[in-house]
Amino acid sequence: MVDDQLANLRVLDLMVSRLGYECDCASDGLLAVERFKAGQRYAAVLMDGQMPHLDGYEAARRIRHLCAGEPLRPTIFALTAAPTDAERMKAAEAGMDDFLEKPISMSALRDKLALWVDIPHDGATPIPASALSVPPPQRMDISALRAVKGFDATVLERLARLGRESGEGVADVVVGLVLRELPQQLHAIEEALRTGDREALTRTVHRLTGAARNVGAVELADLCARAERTLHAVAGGYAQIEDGFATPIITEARRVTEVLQGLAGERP
Amino acid sequence: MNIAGLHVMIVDDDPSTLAVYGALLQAEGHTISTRDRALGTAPAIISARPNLVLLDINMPGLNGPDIVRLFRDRKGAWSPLFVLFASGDQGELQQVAHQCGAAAALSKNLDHHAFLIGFRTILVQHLARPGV
Repeated sequence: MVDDQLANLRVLDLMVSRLGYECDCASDGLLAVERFKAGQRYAAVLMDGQMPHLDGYEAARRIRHLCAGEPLRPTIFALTAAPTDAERMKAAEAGMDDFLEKPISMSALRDKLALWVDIPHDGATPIPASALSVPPPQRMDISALRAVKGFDATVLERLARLGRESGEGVADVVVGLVLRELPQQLHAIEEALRTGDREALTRTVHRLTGAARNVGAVELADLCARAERTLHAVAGGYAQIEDGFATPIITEARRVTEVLQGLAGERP
Repeated sequence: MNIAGLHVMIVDDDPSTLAVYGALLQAEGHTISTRDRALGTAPAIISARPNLVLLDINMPGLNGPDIVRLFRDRKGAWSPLFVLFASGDQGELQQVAHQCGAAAALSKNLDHHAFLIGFRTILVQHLARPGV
């Protein structure tokens, strides 16, 4: 955070820290550039425009020059009140990415940092870079799904056809990803029920709905979609989920897991 | 603009959704990049400069409509075409898209054909104009 008004720096410091980020302060552009010259690197720089010694625009330009070619490109925000078109253009030319309008609200700061600052992975499963291009060694016999209750086999059959056309095992990849996802989501549901975390439960059920649809597990998808609607719509929805939906969802998700494991040739 | 062979970025926290819709659009001839989280999406979009970003509505930390609103808040700066993407009623999704400034919304559903028709329609409506 770079601002020549120490009171502003103090307030920003408190706000940024409260959001869980680590921060450093500099009282003018020159000092900020010196930090970068000394090898310090930051995910984001919140830079006031008008400062003595070196203004924010020139400081941003020098920081961009110092970090050119590096893998971590710091996001530079211009701190200003109601930026004019000319200020927007000047900031863009200096290599600044976005604005934070003064007085800065906590919600604007939280949202803008969330949009621009990549936070190290929190446990979600990334899609492997190879997932869309490398066929797995063994192709599944999806036609076996036609006789299985609670499945729409056409979903995976269509993906398998895509695979045949492009030479990639798309259906196999999707089944593999869902098989990896299901135990994590089941654990997350049980944990959310245990701790009474309604937000986590809603998010997990939503994610499970998508995963179920992607493999044509229509019965599980319907159960989850109904649970989602209840969670969103009814004030007392949490109890209804616990009493009425959680057990069927967990039971059906385990059955779907076994079916998919059988399809993929994995031992349950 | 030619609406074949576009660069489409899909942002969704569910890896199987990324794989399914990535494969569907790749088979349509588009180049696909994927991102499994909303946080820090802006630098990824700006560095990849996709023609269109398909954004899940409901993601931890920052939802799809917030990303569109914050991105559009950078008045005058480059922005891709944003399309929201979620399960649920198409009419409600369109309303959310309209409110946040996204170009359109598409339903995730079991019918991949319907999804592709919707996707092609959006391309024709928003990208097949000269000078876009």
